[in-house]
Formats: sequence, structure tokens, C-alpha cells
Amino acid sequence: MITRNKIVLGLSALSFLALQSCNKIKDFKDLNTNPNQTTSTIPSALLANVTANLGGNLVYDGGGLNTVCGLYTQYFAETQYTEVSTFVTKPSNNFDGYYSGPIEDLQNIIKYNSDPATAGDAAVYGSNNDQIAIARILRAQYVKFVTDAVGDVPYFDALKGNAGLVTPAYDKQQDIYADLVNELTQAVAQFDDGPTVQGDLIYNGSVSAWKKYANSLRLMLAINMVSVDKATATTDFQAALNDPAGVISSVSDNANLAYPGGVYLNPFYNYYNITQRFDYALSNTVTNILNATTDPRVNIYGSSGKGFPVGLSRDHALAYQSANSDWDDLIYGGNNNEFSQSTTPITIISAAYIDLIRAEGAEEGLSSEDPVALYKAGVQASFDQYGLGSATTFLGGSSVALTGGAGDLQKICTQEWLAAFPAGEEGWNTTRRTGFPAIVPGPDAVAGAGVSVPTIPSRFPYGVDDYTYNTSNVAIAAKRYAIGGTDDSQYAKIWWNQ
Amino acid sequence: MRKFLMLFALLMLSGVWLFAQTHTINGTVRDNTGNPIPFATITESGTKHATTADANGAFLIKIHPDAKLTVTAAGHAPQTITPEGDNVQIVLKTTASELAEVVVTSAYGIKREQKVTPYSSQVISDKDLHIIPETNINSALAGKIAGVQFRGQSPMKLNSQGFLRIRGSLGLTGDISAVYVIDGTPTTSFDIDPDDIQDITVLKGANATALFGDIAKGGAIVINTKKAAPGKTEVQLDQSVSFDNVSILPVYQNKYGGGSSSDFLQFTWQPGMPDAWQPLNGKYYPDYTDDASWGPRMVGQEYVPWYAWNPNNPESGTTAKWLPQPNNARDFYNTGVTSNTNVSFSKSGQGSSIKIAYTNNSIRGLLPNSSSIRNTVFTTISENLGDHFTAGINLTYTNNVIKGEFDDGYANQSSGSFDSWFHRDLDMNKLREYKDILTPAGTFMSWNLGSNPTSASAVPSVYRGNYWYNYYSYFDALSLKQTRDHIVGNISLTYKLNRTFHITGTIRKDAISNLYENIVPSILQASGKQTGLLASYATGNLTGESLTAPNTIGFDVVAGYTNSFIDNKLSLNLTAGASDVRYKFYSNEEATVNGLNTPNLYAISNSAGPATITNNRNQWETRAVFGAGDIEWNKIFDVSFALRNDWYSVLLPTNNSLLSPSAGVSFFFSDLTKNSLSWLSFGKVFASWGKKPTSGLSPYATNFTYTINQNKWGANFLTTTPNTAIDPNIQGALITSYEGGLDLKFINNRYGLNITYYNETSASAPYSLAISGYSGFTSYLTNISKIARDGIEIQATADIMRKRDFTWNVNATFSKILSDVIKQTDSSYDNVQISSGAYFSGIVPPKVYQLAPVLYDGSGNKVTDANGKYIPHQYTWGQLVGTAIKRNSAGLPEIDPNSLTYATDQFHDFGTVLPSINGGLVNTFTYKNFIVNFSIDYQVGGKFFSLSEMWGTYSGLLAPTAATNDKGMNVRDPVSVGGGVHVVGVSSVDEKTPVDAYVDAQTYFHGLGGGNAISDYFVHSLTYVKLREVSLGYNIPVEKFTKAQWIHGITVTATARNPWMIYRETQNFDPSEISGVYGEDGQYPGTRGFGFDVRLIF
Repeated sequence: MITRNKIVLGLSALSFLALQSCNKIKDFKDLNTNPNQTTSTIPSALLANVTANLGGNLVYDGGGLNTVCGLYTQYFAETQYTEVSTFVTKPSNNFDGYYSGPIEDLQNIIKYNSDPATAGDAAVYGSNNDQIAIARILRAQYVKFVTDAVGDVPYFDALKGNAGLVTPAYDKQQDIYADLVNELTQAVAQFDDGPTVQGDLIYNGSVSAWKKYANSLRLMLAINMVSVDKATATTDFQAALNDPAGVISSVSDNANLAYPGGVYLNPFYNYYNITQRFDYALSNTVTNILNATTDPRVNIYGSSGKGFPVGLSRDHALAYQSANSDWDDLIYGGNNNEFSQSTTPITIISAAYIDLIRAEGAEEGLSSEDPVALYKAGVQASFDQYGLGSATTFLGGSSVALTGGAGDLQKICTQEWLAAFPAGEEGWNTTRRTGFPAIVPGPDAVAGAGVSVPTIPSRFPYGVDDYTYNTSNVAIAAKRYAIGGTDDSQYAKIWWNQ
Repeated sequence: MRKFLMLFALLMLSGVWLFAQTHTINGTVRDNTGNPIPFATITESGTKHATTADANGAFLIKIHPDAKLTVTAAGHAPQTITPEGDNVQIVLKTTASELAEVVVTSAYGIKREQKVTPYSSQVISDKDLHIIPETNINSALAGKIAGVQFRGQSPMKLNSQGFLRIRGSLGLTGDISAVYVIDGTPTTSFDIDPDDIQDITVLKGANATALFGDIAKGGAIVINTKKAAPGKTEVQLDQSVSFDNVSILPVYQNKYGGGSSSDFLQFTWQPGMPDAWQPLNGKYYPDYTDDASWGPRMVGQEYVPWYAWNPNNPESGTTAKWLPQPNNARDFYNTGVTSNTNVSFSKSGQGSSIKIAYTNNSIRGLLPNSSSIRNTVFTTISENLGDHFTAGINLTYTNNVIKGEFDDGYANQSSGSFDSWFHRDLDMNKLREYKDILTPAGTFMSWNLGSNPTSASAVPSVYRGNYWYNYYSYFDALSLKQTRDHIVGNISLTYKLNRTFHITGTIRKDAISNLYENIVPSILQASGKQTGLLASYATGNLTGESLTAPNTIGFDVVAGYTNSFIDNKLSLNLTAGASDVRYKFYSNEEATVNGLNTPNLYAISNSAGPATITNNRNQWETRAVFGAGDIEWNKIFDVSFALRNDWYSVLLPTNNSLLSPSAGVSFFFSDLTKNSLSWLSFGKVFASWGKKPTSGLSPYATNFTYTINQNKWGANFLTTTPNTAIDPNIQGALITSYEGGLDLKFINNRYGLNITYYNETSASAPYSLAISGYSGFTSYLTNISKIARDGIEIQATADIMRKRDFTWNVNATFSKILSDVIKQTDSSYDNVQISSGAYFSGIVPPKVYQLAPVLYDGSGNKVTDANGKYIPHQYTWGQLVGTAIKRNSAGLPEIDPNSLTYATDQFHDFGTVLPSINGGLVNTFTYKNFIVNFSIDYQVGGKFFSLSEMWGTYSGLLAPTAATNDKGMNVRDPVSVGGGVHVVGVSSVDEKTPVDAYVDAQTYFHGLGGGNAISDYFVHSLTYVKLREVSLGYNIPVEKFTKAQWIHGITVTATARNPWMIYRETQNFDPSEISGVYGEDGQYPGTRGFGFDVRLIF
């Protein structure tokens, strides 16, 4: 019996201790706190990340969306696998990554600075209003980039994943454009010149520079609308021009991203020297134009002036490579090449481009500015950007000088297209909007479904992510881009390109 | 936990002085082969005083002085003995008419007789596990367990274990692995040495795994290691060697060689070119720079081979004949050699048992420069400390050094080239012959020249590989090495109060330390043009293998009570305990970035860019208390139950507890029918129910945290918003499992049949759901999607022949998944994606979805609701969805009449990746001293996508690209002369106008593959029937040849692995070894091995 009592006693003690520890058993203290990461939102680090990626996303992305735009507008030629330039492959890029990446970071900055609970913490990194305004400008920049590629995209319901809204509807591009103009206008007004915003790798927190950037974006939005809604285009164009803060108008205003080297490399340098692929060359479309006008930029954009033919089939492209062994006009080319250094800055928006947009706007009657003066200023600004000295001689060339006649728009747009190089989508916007310079499909290009002759795509179809994660909503939007029996055709036109 | 241990010690101390008065006998019951007989009944003769031996045959009984003991056990003749001394060794003879009792081992080493368990379980004996020597436990189990699919991996991948998929999938994130438990200690399948295994119990349902908790939600593979046979001292030596060769390769075309066009190019020597090239002036060569085989027809014409351009080669400047090389891919691979040596020593007696084993497993891989050397020391010791205490230790230490690259992904430098991008004319012997001869530029010469020899300026590029190296140069130069030290084991102390009550405290540890060092040498960077390889050095120290195979340390205390009442009619087994397991996975990794500053120095400090340094720490913990028991009535009725509560550190602190109950019942009806149905030796019907807990989260998953980028941009540091939004109410889940079935044995147990039906439903489990990035996030961690699955499993055994000299035993398994369905619990998600294949350059091969994106009606049209929205569908797990040829309502392909290309349907559902039927057959014959074993396994259904085939047809490598068309011409002949691929269908414009045309072969196959990824021809069935293992053994009757007492047995066995692929639906690969869940990207070929094994027992 002694035995049994001891057991009972022991078990009772066990139960007692078990009960005692019952409250403690569920308490793991801080074991589940991640020691590798922080829960703090640091807006300056988010802004630094967003601005650090502007060059890679908006100017050269080594085979990504913007590169395909560059192939469609024939800045580049494919040297080996040529199915994008010959339109054999239907483009299959995704767009939502811009939202979950930079746009969400910007949204987070806005939220963190707007929420009264966190605004105080956020103000450590610069004035709340200035941080919000810069984030709104860049958010508008990214949304413009996406909608110009694909057309209707989620916008008003986007960026609400943390509220459980994971399948946002697709908004009309026209409505998005209106809101982007509105956002930029409000952002310009929101700046309060408070403590300098930290983490801005473009303008180092300069309020006046960001205002010019925002107004320049307003011009770019307005000019795109010229053929579908000239009234709104005119209003928006003039409002941007009349804003007291002005637009980007001198090389010193250029939105430059200066790469520090190390792991942050100029994207061209990175693609050709680190990735070591040679899939893209400067196109003969670009070199033909540059050579015809003895444009000195031929030695900046490439190194020999012998561009690679656009739109060859793979065997023809390889045959061309074999037969033209001195062909070396890749963008990564010689050391004198503008894009060949690891720390070469990338220009996101240039005075040259904005001047030429203004010239185009003036020519189209959106403003009463002098197109000739803007044209000259724009070309000179492009020369200045690359340190090429005076453009006066070049501008005097018979095929370059404006005459006041019908050919002027073509000349303006051609220079605008050259000034935007190598930002593929901006170049493609010019050729899609104006038809200048005239781009024709390469010799081996094929006709895709829904078109009877080889045709340069005029938009991107929705990506696999759209169909995978937002199936029901994208199906509705896809029908708006039907050509023949095919929904979501790359040959359909987006709203402003009608 | 500390409190439990203290209490445990207290209990033990208090017990020591409690008993000592009567005559206590301890002993062990074993059969005539020396194996312990578990659960034998030991009765004091003439009384009702009895006890039951434990699973190792050991027992303890108090008897009157001079009393006799009667020992009975199923399958054995009873025996009565007069004990001499306090320790007795009892040997029972096996009776032929009954099968020996099978013992099931579950959590914490708790053993039960299989005949009473109310759930399905299967025990694989040492014999069936070792039909042939296997180095990997998973492949040793292939086809032998009902309800388990072995997703094998190529034996070339020396670092791979394959995967056992139990009862389909219950995983939202994909497959969930079973837990491997070795002598009660959970571990992973890494480094389990099959030589040390006595038997394996495979547990599947919730009742079976009740006491394991979260870790066994995917099932449990419970391993008992070999122990010393009682009263014996034995030394065993086993040596096996096997040789593996490539057996299954894709069907290549052997008519056309490398290049991009059907004509050769002509070489013109120019000043500035090497003089050694002068003799080649005017000769013809294929386009070396292109890595496809759309080149000239191979009819023996003269051409300049790649090696002729290297002036340092003996054959520099010479030409060769352009001839087919049908075996070039096969010739590349080595014969793999596996040598396995196992020495073991065991001794047992007088309450002490020890076994020490050492295994050396050395593999020379089929891939060049690959090897694995594994040394395992295994020891198990059990020692009685007085009458009441037993101390035990089980410890396995493994050191495994694996060298080589085992990349079977897209564009790997062996199969990734041969099947996707290659020249069919290449003579592999020439590649091997010239692998070490450098070019004048100091580079390795490749067959795939960086530039054709068209000018003096092209010369440097000629000497560099465009996309590919000489494979031999590449593998020889590359140095990848990982060293894994793995300790798994436990130390336990058991206090046995009396024959009814015991308590055991155990400390368990499973620890892996993994050091890797990878070097890409500078010469490979110098030798490549677009190969994308930069010289690099990377190293890392991992504490734990991965987040899913972390290091663990666990403490548990388990008390057991066993007794029987009412003339042994009612027997009772109770277990209660508590456990605390701490998990840890740390990594410190460093890698050079963007190349090296100075060549050939492989040090982090030599990194050209800022080196990457990663330091990751993960710790988490699970605590549990549990109780379980079973009550058996008169060998007719058994009820078992369990209750476990877990607390998880990874869940939200406010809701981190999960309670999982289970219960089951067995009814042994044969006891009632043994007179009326004498042919029915045993009959049991069983049913059980239970819940399996799953925390479903990895550590810190509930934290919304920002990673700080290691590299600053000037003075700025960078971070990005996390991509996973977190549901604030995220919680763990319970999986409800039912199973029931029949267990029958007929005619003196000669034939056995076990049929089980299972049905499992998972509550909305936490899942990181991939969502549209437009939401600002790419995933949302929430509780979503119920999974329901059910199926049947059948195991049949037959002793077809039971003669003294001739026995024939068959063990067959069959399982069929009836359903494995995901029900969406929230309609706001369009679908859930599991995994995708290689994704690059805008190529989108099929992906595996849990839910097909939309509902289709019977004729293949998407169903929409009133608002025109597609309706998401509840679907079978693992749908393979991708681009397919669009078909009209009559099923005819739709073809664009202008381009003659197929119209496509981007979201075609190709079917599930899950085979519906799996099974196998193990046959054992013995004739006198000969033993023949073979195992067959099979599966039916399941789909996979082949990226290799997509590129292999794009590149003109595979047979269809040089087939003969219905006009009798080769498809590569010009359409104008009757060549081309015959394309028949309807116009995509009106879906009815017939289209009937011939399309140039290259255009046709480029249109299928490449960016269009039309997958109809690249999705295949996983169905196969395979003779996996064969062994022919001979027990040398040593007693006939020698009087030597010191040798007790010699067995010599010849073995074969994968000798015969009896049937497969797919042409190009071994469907049992497809590398990914969705399919393959650069699959290694199938292999076949032959070997022998010698076993000596002293």
C-alpha cells in the first residue's frame, strides 16, 4: 500500500506541476520574433530602393518588358533568338510585379506618412508632405509605364492586398490617365519645403527638382492624349507648362541615377559584362537614321555605326553574324561607349526629351510655344547630355532643320525618339503615337493571328499572372482588346493610341 | 520541461527501496533464429499469475521459488521450463501453421501487435527492404507499401533521396513529407543507413500517428534498428558492389547534324588567322555557334570538326566525315560504381545488449567528377541497472562527403544539353580525348564555338564556348563539395516499477552540420562567351539541413501502465507523457560576387564585387502533453484512444494551441467463427477516427518584417516592403481522418488480405496563397481551402508454397486514390498555384495548380456566371495547366490560315500530376539454399510536362523532327518537294473551314516550342510497370564444407536494379524518376545496375 500511495503522490505532484505550468506552456516569450529582419518601416530605405531601381525598370531591363518595347520600336535588334522581333512569339510579360515591388513601396511610404499614428516616426526621414508628394509622383510614373504598355490595368482597387482585396478590377486607361494627371497636380501642390527627404537617389530631396519632374510627367501624359482627347490634352499640357515650378528644361534638371558601382551597376554594363549575354545589338534602324544625318550620337549609342539588321530569322541572323565579323555595334561595345561603364548614370527623364515633347505639342497646337526654338534646344540638350558640344552644324543639315512645312512633325518626332534612347517604352510611345520615325517590320517578320501582314504589336497582352490570379477580372478587360476572334490581342490599340 | 525531468528523477529515487522481497526472474524470449519474440505470454505454471514480454521479448516476473514457467506466443510452440537462476533465455520453435506476430511501432517507441490495431499499418522487414543493397531508404521502400508513391530521383543525383508521397497529397504548398523516426527519434530521410534497419513500420492515418503530433501529418516511417540477438555474440560482414549504367535515353534523330541551316559554310583562310588553319582553306563546316541540330544531313561528307580549330590538338587542321553518332549522349556517362561495406558486432546477455556497426558506402557517380563517401557508425546499447532501471543509448553518426554537380535543371551541362541544345553529329570520344588540351588563348575548346572562323578578329571567340563547354572540361574543372556530419540518437532511462508500470525519460537529438564549398574556376569564365559563368567561390555552414529538416533537441517523459484483469480477459494499456522539442536552423553563407579580382584565388576576400554574406537564424519550439490507451476484451474486441495537445511557438501567441483526439475500434470476428469457418484463420474489422494537428507555418511567418539590403547605395541603405500580406487571424488547422477496413487471413494464415479505406479532410489550413501583384503583395498568408481526399489500399500476402525445400511467398500492394480535392472556402481567390516549371525569357511552361483557374463545361468551354465572370472551380489537387492547341467543338485543332500556326488556349487543363493507382509486388522464392527475390512496382495515371522535349524538338534533336511524313518524305525536306509536317485542322477564324497543309519542319517545331510553349506534345503520362529489384542469393552450407565453428553463414547474392522497364507510356524518360512535381526541365537519363553482395556471419 505504501507503494500505491507513493505512486498516487507522485502522480498528484506531476498533475500539480503540469497545471502550474499550463499557463507557461503556451508562452514562448520572444522566440517567434525574427532576429534577421526588422518590423520597423523605414521610409528613406524604401525610397532609396525605389529610386535605385528606376534605371533598371524604366530605361534598360536586360530582356524585360522595356527591352521588348525597345525591340518593337527598333532601338535594338535581336542577334541570336529573334522571335520577338519577328513577332513569332506573342509577348508574355507580367505587369503586376511593378505593383508589388516599387509601387507598393511607394504606397507604404504614403501610408506611413499619412497615418497620424506613424506620421511622427516617419517625419524623422523628412517632411511628411514632401515624402508623400515624391512617392505620389513616382507612383504615377510607374502606373503610366504599365498602362502605356498594356492599356487597362487595376488601379483604383489596386494595392489593397493587406485589406484582403486580392483580385482588383481593371480600370479604363482614360480614367487612370485622368487620375494620374490629378495626382501629379496635387503632389506638386503638396510639397511644403519641410525638412529634406532622405533616401532620394535622384534629386537628393530637392523639392524644386521633383516639381519639375512631376510637371514633365504631366506633359508626357498630355501629349499621349493628343489624338483621342485633344481638349483634355491641351488643358493638361498648358497647366503643366504654366505651373510656376516649371518643367525639366536644362541638362542640370535631368533626372539622373548615378550608379555607385559595387553591386549597383549600370544596367547595360551589368547585362553585357556580368550576365554575359549578347542577345541585343543596336539596330540598323537607329544607325541608318544617325548615319544619314552624320549625327555624332552614333558613337555614343554604338561604336561603329553598323547596326544589326532588325527582324531576321535565327538562321539569317547567325548568317549575318558570320558574314559580318567586323560587326561590333552592340550597345555594350567599345570603351568610348556611353553605356559601357559600371558607374555610367542612367537618365530617367531628360531635358532633351521634354523640350522635344514641348516642340511636338506646339506643332500639334497644344501650346503656343515656338516649336523651332524648342526643337533646337532639345537637340542641343541631347548633345549636351552626352558632351558632344554644339549641335548648330547638325541642326543646319537639310534633313534635320525645320522648314515650317509639313515634314516638321516627323523631324521633331524623330529627334524626340532619338533623345529618348535607350528607354524603350518612351521611344515606342513616340512611334505608336505619331508614326514617326516610320518603323517597318523586318524582312523575316511574320503575320500573327488576327492580322494579314506582318505587323508591329501595338500593346502587350495581359500576363500569365493576370490570368492566373485575377482570372475573372482580366477576362472582362481582355475582351476590350479583341482583334478578329482573338481576345487580348497584341495588335489591338490602347485608348490613347486609337 | 525542467520540472518534468525533476519529477521524473524524484519518482525514480522514491521507487528504489520499495520492492525486493520476492523471487524475480527476468529473461528474454526468442525464436530459433535468435530474433526476439515480442509479447509472448509468460505464466507461472499452474497459476493465473502471468506477464507479457515486451516488444523485444524481455520480461520480468515474480514467482514462487521452484515454480515453473509456461511460455506461449502466436506462431510458436508453447514451452514450459524450470528457471535456473534469475535470468533465463527461452527459445520457442516456430510453428509452420501460424504466422509470427507482426509488431507495429509508433511514437516514442510504443509497440503494439498489429492484429489488434484499429488502423492500417504496414511493417517492412529487413528481408524485403534489402532485396538489393540500397543506399537510400526511400528507394528501398518503392512499391512495397500500399498507399505510397515513390517519387524517385535519378541515381546520378548523389545528394538526392527521392520522396515518398503517402496517400496522395494533403499539402496546400505541395507535398508534405512523412516524418522518419529512428528508435523513437524524429529525423529526416538523410543518412539513414538501410544496413542498420531491422524493420520499418509505415503509419498513415490520424489514429496511427496520434502521439506524434504535427510532424506526422504526412505520415510516419518508423524505423527499428537492429539490436543484438539475446544470448549471442555475433560478427557480421557484408560487402556489396554494384555497377550502374545509363539505360533510358530520349529517342534522338540521327539523320541531321548541328547548325542552323541545312548547308555547310565554307572556310576561307585570311591573314591574321592561325597558320594551323591554312590546310582548312576551302573546306566546309557547320554553324558551330548555333546549338541546335537543324544542320546538314549526315551522309559521310567531309567537314571540319570543332577540334580541328585548336592548333594544339594533334588533329588540328584535319577534316572528318559527317556521320551520325547515335550513342553520343549515352557515351558521355560513366559507369557508376557503388561499394558498400558493413561490419557489425553484437553481444547480448545478462541484462546487457550492445551492437556496434560501421558502414562505408562509396559511390563513384555516373556523372564525371562526382562521388559520395558515407561513413556511418551506429551503436545501440541497453543496460539493466539493477532490477528496476534500464539505461539505453542509440546513436548514429554519419559523415558524408558529396562531390560533384547534380543539376538536372534547364541548360545543365549534360542532359540539359543533350536533350535540349546539342549537335547530333558530335563524337563524345573526341570531347573526352581533347578535354585537357588548351587553345592558344589558354581556354578550353568547345564544340559550340563562340564565333564561326570567319575573320582574324573572330579568332578569340573561336576559342571560347558560345553557350556550352566541352562537358568533360567543365565537369573536371568545377569543384562542388559538401560535407555533412549528422548525429541522430537518444539517451533514455527507464524505471520499471513492476510488471505493470514504467516510466521513461528520453533526450533526443538530431543534428546536422553541413559545410559546403563551391568553386567555379577562372578558366571556365575565360573559356565561355555566353555561358554566363563567372569565376566564383561560395561557402556556407549550415546548422541543420534546411528549414524543413532542422536540427532538433527533444525531451520527453512517457509513462506506461499495462495490466490485465478478469482471467486475462481484459487487458489495459495506458500511456501518458509530455514532450518539448526545439528546432533550429542556422546558416552562415558567403559568396563572391561578379567574379574574382585575381584569377585562381578562391577566397571571399578576392571577390570582384562586394561579397554576399547571409546570416539566417531560425528557432522554434513545440510543446505537448498527451495520453493514450487501449482496452482489449478477450481477444475479441479492442478499443484505443488518444488525446494530444500541442502548443506551437510559430503560431500567434493568442491562439497557439491545438487539441487532437483520436479513437478506434477493432473486432476480431474470427474468434467467433473459428468452428464454423475453419478456413478463416484470422478476421478483423477495424475503424478509427482522429485529428492530426498542423501548425502550417514556418518560423516568423506571422511577422511582417523588412529585410535590410546588405549593400548600401552610397550612404543610403535599402529595404523593400514584404511581399506577403498576413491575415491577422491566421491559425493552425486540424486534419480529420477516418479509416476502416478488413484484415483477413485464410487457410492456416497462408493467405492474407488487408483492405483499408481512408478519408481525410483538412480544415482551412494556413497557406501563403499566391495572389495578383496588383494587390501590392504577391502572397497572402491566410486560412483557405479545405482539402478532402479518400482512397483504398489493399495488401495481399500469399505463401504459395510452404515446402521444406521450396517456399514461395508473394506480397502485393495496390492503392487507388479515389479523390484528392480542394474546396475553395473563399470565392475571392481565382485559384491557387502550387509550383511552376522553368520560367525564363517569357517562356511559360505548364504550371501545377491546386485549382484550375476556371470551370470548363463538357465541351471544353469556360463557364461564366451572369456577369460574364469565369467561375472558379473546385478541383482535384495538382492540375497541370498550360498552353495547348485550341480545338473546336469537334476536337479539331484550330489553325490560323495565314501563318499556319495553331491557335492556342492558354489555360488548358492537362490533368492531375497525381497518379491514381500505385502498387507493387514482392516475390520471394527459396529452394534449398537458393533465394530469389524480385520486386515490381507500377503506377497508373498522373501527368508530367517535359521541358527537355520542348527544346529538344525546337532544336531538331528528337526523332519527330526528322520523321518521315505521310508522303514518304522527311519532314525536313522542302515542302515544295513533298516534305514538311502535315498539319490538319480547321481555320481559327471561323472554327470550321478545313485547313490541310504541309509546314516546314523547323517553322513547325519552333512554333510549338520557344515562346509559344504549346504543350500538347510535351505532356505525358506517368504510367509505368517496372521490374525494380532482382536478387539471386545462395546460402553456402558452411557446415558441409568445414568443421570450423567460427563461421556461421555465408550468403552470396547477385543483384539487379531496374533490369526491365516492362511498360511505360512516355517514350523519352523513366517516369518513376521525373525530377519535379510538374515534370522535368533537364531530366537525367534512366539507369540500370548490376551487382553482387557477400555476407559473412561469424
